[in-house]
Amino acid sequence: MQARAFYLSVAFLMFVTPLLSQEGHPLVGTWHGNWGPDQSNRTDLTVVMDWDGKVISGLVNPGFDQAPLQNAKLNPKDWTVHFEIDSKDSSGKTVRCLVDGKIDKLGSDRRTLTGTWNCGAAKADFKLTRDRDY
Amino acid sequence: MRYSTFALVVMLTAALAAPLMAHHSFAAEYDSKQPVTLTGAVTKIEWMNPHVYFYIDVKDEQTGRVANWAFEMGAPAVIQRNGWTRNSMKIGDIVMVEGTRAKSGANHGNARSVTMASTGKKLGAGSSEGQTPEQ
Repeated sequence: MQARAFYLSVAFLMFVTPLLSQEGHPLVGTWHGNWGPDQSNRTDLTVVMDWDGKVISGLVNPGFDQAPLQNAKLNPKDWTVHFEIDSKDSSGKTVRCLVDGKIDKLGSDRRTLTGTWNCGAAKADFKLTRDRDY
Repeated sequence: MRYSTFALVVMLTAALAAPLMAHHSFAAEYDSKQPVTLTGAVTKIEWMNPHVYFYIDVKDEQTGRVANWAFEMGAPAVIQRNGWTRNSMKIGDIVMVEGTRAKSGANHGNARSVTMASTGKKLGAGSSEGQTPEQ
């Protein structure tokens, strides 16, 4: 009987440890997708987000034209997300973009984030999917 | 007692097999006849055993479309001997990667070297290309 309890404990730990490693902030990771004013005008989009225990930080389109996330918030009651970035419009003028979305498929490592991507007077929508860990 | 020992061995084997399956020979996954040289922005770094992975966004200047590529390097201990640290590459860094594409044709490759655009520094990536597969 003691042996059975021991092996059940070992088996339990073997399965629980990997499951625990899946836990984390739902926004953390690299997300790919696109944004645009309609379905025929889309621009590829990459967002990398991190969480230090207090603040959500990250970058939109890492690289030459990257923009840091500002005022990023997650509401865990309805899994809505808000962040802002400074972007450039077609004339090169800096414009503030307000991004509001909602996380879907929360339990999946391929969860999605969809919503509105409004830069100044320009209204658009976006859809992002979290990259799967390799 | 003999049954219990057998059960323990089966459980430990199952626990250890999954991580080991992530380790593989170069020839099993990559096509040495498909060299690739790509420049892009780093979007993710996974510093882990048995291989370090990093991901870059590569933009097609003609279409404006972005493709995300995954590159495998050697084990952390191996690439550290080539001068790497955890902070050598950061999200958003522009890098040029020389490597070999996966046989699957996916946006996935084995990196031979990584050159940092900001400094021009080139680091070996611990590729196992040309080495005899482990038995």
